Amino acid sequence: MECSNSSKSNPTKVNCKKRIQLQSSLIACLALLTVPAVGMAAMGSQRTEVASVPDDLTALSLDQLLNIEITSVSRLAEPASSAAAAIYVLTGAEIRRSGARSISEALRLVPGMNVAQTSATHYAISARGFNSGAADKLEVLLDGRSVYSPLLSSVFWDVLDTYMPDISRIEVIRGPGAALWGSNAVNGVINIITKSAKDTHGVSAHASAGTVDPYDVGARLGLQLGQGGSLRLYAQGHARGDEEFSNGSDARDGSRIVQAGFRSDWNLAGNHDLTVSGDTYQATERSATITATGPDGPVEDVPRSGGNLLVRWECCGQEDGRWSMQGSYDTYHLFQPTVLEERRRTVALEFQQQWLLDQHNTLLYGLSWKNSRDETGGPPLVALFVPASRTLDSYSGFVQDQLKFLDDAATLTIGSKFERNSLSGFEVQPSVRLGWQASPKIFSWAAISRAVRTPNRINQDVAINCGPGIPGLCGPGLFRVGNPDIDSEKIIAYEWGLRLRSTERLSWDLATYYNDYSSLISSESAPPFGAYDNKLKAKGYGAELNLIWQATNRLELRPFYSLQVLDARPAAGSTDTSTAATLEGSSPRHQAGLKAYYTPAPRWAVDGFLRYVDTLAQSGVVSASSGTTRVPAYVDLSLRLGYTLVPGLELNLTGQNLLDSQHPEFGGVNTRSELSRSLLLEVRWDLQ
Amino acid sequence: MNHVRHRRALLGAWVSVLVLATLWAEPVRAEPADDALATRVKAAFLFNFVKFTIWPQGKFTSPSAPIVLCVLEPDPFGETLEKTIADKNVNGRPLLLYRSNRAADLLGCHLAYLGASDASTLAAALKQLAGHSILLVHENTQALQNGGIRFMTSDRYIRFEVNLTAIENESLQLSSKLLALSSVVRQ
Repeated sequence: MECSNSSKSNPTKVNCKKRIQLQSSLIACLALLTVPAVGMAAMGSQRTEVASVPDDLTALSLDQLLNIEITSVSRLAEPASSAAAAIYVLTGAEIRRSGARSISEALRLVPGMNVAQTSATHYAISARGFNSGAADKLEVLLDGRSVYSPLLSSVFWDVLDTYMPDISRIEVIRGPGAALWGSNAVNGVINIITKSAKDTHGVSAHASAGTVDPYDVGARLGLQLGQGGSLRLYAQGHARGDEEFSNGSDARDGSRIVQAGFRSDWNLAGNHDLTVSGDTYQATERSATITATGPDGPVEDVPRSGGNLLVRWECCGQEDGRWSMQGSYDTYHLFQPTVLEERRRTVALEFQQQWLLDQHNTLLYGLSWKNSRDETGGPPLVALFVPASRTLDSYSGFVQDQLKFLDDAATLTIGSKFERNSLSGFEVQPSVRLGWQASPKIFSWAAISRAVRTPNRINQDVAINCGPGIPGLCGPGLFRVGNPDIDSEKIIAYEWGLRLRSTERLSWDLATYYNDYSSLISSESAPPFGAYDNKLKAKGYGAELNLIWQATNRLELRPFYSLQVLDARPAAGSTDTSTAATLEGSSPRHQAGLKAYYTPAPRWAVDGFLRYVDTLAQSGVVSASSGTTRVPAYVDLSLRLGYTLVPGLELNLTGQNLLDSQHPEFGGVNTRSELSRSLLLEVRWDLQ
Repeated sequence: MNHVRHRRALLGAWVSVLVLATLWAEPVRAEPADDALATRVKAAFLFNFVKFTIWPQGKFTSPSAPIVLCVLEPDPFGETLEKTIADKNVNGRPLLLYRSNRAADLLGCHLAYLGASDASTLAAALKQLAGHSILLVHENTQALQNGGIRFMTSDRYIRFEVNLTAIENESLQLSSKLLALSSVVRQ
């Protein structure tokens, strides 16, 4: 990766090797530096089953009864067994048992997701191919608020966080979900849902310290407010310790983040429900400036900040006529020294309602409006935008009809989203889904959908600032790489799935897909840097198998396997000879794993997660300074031991990356951090 | 080099699996399923509700008359409730258990647990039993008119909510200790 520039005395100097398209290295820089995925705060989460339960419970006080934990391992999650989509529901209980400290870490538990940590702070997360530090084909929602950024159509995983113990569940749909969720829901939808404030009364707190990550702390206070109202407040903070490069040198990629937020839920008169929530965060991420010889420039403490507010109002009845209205405001500040700066604020309004037309027929429709405005930084930054400030509007509506037939054993869902947006104009994203409960133990489904990934600011408006000129690379001036005519990326996906409950204790979930992509973004040669166009196409196919096996009353095993193959090629007239290989090589062909949740005794929990990730042939753009971006296959194991001292007070010892002293997961050999083995001790306190 | 490391990792994984397998091979003691635990906890709560409730004078025929616990079927407790209250007494009163599938049979009860799960059946039973100084316990997802105490099962714990309006309408008194540990609504 060459775009860089390192010295503070000459911030605009770009050390790029001539033959390499700066534009692709810019993307790589952006992916690696600015937009890289995650780090997450989140916090601990481990939790063991409660203390030993006496035979005669009447001898216990009310207090003690309230603290008996009744969740069993077997209730971690039932597969969403009658959804006509490749869905996995990650419950709060499974997150807790896994010990995941952040949303990104938790997503590793979802079969079929590809989660690769690129540094101490950042992640690359995708499904069904196309992974990168700025993977752009997922829609991600937190309590109904879309969190992907129109800058790169990707999610800032490093600052997407909430108080982990208050997550009710994370629903992950692999494959298109655009008919309901809209643009960007091309390869998946991640729906993070937190608990109602009514279910989080009391005090909860945790603190942990580890051999790599110095600390994670957090606390939540939940209150009842008069009749029908509840409020919770939380605050948390964490630090991620520096990892190392493959040559053993310090990657200087740690971070610190503090975050606070609230959620309040109210039952109002006449069956109205009101939810108000908000969060704010401040982060500092260490980042070594990248130079022509690698990330060996001076370290900068890069500040990040943001916040959001959400109001949702729902009314009336269980199903027929029930509607919800939601408004949200979201703002953040992104800054990468010498590369780019962006401030954004987004306002969104949504309305949704459902009607039971008759016993077998449910109609759901919705309308939404989103307005997102940014201001980007000017010279001497390298990545500038033309125009520097832009307001994006999108208006959309969707309608979906769900029809039950064959004595309600079969469900046909037909729907479409219609959208008009500032970047690509009018988009239609229809889907047809059929689900069939063939017998009490067998459910099969099939779907055909069309979805689009709308262009982003980088695709359309980015320009490289060569300042007074860079010898051998570009003359003085500003060179536009973004293409104002760029169109959406399109997918038509064909899916089929089967769920079996072969015994009371064993269930199978198989999903298969064939994806036909067109108009994928290419980098056409156009001296000095090239320009974006829509001249790539690809075909992807694969299968995902997930088993849930309650082996004994004390042991639950969840093996999974996924196959992912992508075949990308330039369309006629394209001069892009390199992007196809990056797309193909960015996600593992095979992934397999085993999750085990074991409760040897009431006070103890032993949990393990073993996973295999296949070789990445080319994880990102190859350049002189990145070195090869091939990532060898690896096997990784994490183990957690939990012990309940007294009801509500637990100790957890977690070991991560246990099989290697360190291993890489994504990126170029010279620029990627390797994840080291770590031990973590956590104290968790919960007083409900 | 990567090759070597990869192979070592595989070996390590295999050893870990063996170690875990040994752990798991430990014989599993027969233990009631957790559903049973939830039921036992609820039964213990019912016993506690009785302990912390004062009924109006007229609800008992004599100072030593039993406190009658009732279940309007379907009965989720099986034998658990019988076992829980066996040989127990509260303020010198023995405890009796009575089950029926007709709300009209339960007018003499002191506490009635309503097993119906659908809201309309439940509402009808609550209405029929109202006005007889019965502590009515149910598990509907929302507070209901006339419903005295509602169990709520979160993902890990059992909680309960007291409908103070209903309690007061039935001339019952709940101890502050009970109220302090419950959510309180008025409906």
